[in-house]
Amino acid sequence: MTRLLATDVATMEDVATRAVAVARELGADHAVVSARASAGMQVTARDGATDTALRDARQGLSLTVYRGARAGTASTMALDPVSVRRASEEAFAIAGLVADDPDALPPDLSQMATDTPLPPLDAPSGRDPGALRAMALDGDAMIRGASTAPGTSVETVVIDVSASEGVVAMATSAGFCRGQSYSSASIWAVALARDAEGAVNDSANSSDRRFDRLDPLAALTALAVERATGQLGGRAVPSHRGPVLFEARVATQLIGDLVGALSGTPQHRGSTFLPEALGKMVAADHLDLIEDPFEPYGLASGGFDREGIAGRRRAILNAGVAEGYFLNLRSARRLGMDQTGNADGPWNLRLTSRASGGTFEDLCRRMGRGLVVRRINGGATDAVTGNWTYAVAGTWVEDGVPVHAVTDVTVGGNMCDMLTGIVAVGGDVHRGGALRTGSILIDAMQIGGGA
Amino acid sequence: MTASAMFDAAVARILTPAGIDPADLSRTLGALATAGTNLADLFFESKRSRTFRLEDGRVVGGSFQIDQGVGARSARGGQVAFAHSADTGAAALATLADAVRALDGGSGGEVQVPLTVAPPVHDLYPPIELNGDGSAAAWIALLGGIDAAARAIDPRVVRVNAWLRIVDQAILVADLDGRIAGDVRPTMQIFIDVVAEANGRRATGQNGLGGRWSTDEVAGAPLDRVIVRAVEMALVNLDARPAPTGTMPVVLAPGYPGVLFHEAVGHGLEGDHHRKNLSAFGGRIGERIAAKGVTVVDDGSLPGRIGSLGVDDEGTPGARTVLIEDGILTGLMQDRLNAGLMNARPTGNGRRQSYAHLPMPRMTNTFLVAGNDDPGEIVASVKSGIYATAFGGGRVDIVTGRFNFTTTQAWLIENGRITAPVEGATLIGVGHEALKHISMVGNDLGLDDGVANCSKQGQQLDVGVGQPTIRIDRMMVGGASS
Repeated sequence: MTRLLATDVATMEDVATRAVAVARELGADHAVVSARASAGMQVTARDGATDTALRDARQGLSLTVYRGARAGTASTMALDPVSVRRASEEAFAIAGLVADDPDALPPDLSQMATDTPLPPLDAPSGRDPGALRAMALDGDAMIRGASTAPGTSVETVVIDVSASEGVVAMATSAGFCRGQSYSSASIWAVALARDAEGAVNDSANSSDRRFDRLDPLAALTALAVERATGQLGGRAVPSHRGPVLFEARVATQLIGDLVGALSGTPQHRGSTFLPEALGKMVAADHLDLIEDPFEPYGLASGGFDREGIAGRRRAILNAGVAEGYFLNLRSARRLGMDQTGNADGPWNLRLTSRASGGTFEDLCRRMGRGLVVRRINGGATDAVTGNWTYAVAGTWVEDGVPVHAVTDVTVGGNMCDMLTGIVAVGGDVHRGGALRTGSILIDAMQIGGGA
Repeated sequence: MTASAMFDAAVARILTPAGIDPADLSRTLGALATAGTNLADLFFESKRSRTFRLEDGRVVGGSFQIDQGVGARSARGGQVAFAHSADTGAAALATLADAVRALDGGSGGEVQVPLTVAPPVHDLYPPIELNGDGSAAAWIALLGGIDAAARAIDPRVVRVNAWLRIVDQAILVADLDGRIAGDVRPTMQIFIDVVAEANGRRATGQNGLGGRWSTDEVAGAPLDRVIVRAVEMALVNLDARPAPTGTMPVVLAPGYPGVLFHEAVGHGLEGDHHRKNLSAFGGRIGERIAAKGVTVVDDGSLPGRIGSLGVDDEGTPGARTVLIEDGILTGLMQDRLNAGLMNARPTGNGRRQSYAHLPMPRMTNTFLVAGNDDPGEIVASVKSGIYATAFGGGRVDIVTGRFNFTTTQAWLIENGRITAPVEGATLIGVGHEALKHISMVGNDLGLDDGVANCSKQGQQLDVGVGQPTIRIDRMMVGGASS
């Protein structure tokens, strides 16, 4: 099997362990070291030729040293002994300058994931740059060869095929030492459609830890073309208040905002639109949100976070009631709660509804008349007030049937109302990074349009 | 400073520690060039960064980062092969050239590329080192005073967080045409985030300051002003109500709101989008796209600005490019690759996030030039609309020209007077149409305070934005209220 990466878990564990020893020699009371290396390749194509071919090779070491309850961190891309010592000295010096922060002390070994199972994350692609180049050129040809309506043409903005491998290892002065290797692969297809009125572009992508599990190239390019051509002729709708259906791939934005609100740092700072949320109904009572760190080959799976702490399979929302926060050790201590192993953010999350939402078409019929949001072009969520306003594009639905593309509109609301206003979640599940959800139908939002 | 101080400093920080000299660069460039190669370069970077965080009145979470490496690029026509290495020794350079040749399928030469073109010089900023030995304590002291200062302004302030970033970047680039250039770029940025509370309601305010400045230049009045502005924004937002929705006149304050021109104009005038026929501005050069009196420039040669570049990341000196002149679309921003393929000149806009990223045409300091209108009269001219002074950033779709940006501090204008504050609203428009509705341009040009950054194809860079007060007669404002 061709491997891109020239190192392995044992080597990086050794690098991390040696760095811990250096920090202790300098006089550090504790030291936590993370060492990582990755290698990848990426080929992009358009217009019948490759555009770029890239080889990526990275490595680095990050170390936090403690003098009492004072912490200093340093990182270096060079892993030779001189560079590691320099980084250790810098971290040690910083720890002498900053204030005490006892909540940030590293965990005891008993709190750490010394023997928890590691989900499988590593499936080397076995591809070389030539194989990626051939795929990228094939994808480009598929887009350019797509059949379209008269008066409409399609071209490739980019086909991007990439594969990478990596390893991360962690060692601490408490005696923890574990590493894990991983792989990832992706295809990203962007198509541009033109007609007499102008041009629009849209994309489709697939990411997986296993190259062989990526969505078929033909399906992805067809989807990118369908999405781009489907936006031709888009026009605004009048400003009004009405239902909004978020297509699954953009509905992940709403879950991302919910994750932010339930995360440790905003919670202990009081900078969240869901303060002291545990045990409270924060979303519609048919909604469950489940976190699972151990899904085999999950995009957000892992045996432990950057603090060496394992997550667990648990409910974040149970029938709309908040049951969990996403905590690193520091925010857990500040809130007086148990650790959750979320120093790297959420593990795999899945939003489901206890009421069957049916297919995307079922949701359109249920909405009857309203806006389908297919793209979020920009905007902002106010983390503290929950004020939510975005520029979007999508489709207008009448009598449950899509009738025309929509553009130049905004959608506004407040996250607190939006979460409780979710009336259905579709079975058309999309996975975007850590998040899985079907399309989400919200009963009423403010739509702004100049039509 | 002596003519070569900047280049000498870059050599001392990059080539000398790696144990390599210009002859190694000449040899590697020769190995990168294959039959048909029209562009090849080596980009070395050495970066030292420190960050510190202020929380609960204490400076905690200090970090120090060493980033260094070299990127090697070779292009035949528009096809680019690129690889990079964190190791910058002579042996690593040979391996890197092999990796690039393997990607593009060519075989490299044994010839050396003599580096004969003298490095450019500039005096936009001094070759100072902000992260020098013993410098951390002064920065920590600066950060440490912010909490108490913010709370002293108003008792409704309940939380203060701040973040400081100090970067010393040195770059050195050598290319197939025999050019060699170096630069050292000091950067500091400080961001403050304030939470205020009253009557059970919380709201935030943010402000920041950045530039190529030492602690002495930031301490005192400049930092105090940032703290006051962050507190004022949080207090204003305590009273904010959901913003209205609809098409209405909008008045934008000077400074950061110039992000409008970065999004609505700038990105659409980057050369790569034009070479690939992806920009909504394609074929419109020479056309009127804005009212007379609207002139927009990108200027990387402004002294001291965070978006300024003595030389860009391809060795081209920073320069002023007029993008819109008196309403007429005039110019594109170019890097070497796209300029070469479009038979144009590089404009000093070839920028990259790091040695591990490819350069692209990117903006430097992009702003609307001052007009003649009195800012007070601009506000007074609006019967019913929005006055916005701060934004959280913006986005644009190059292909359609559709842009959007979201307010973080705004008020209603009622009968020519600024009245009630409103929560975040998203403003949308189409680049080649929205600018036609600019009817008044103020005489109060201001650039942002060094806190703007720009993302393009996943690469982050510091930029400058700016404008005077302007009135836009018609703009779609999307709030959470009707």
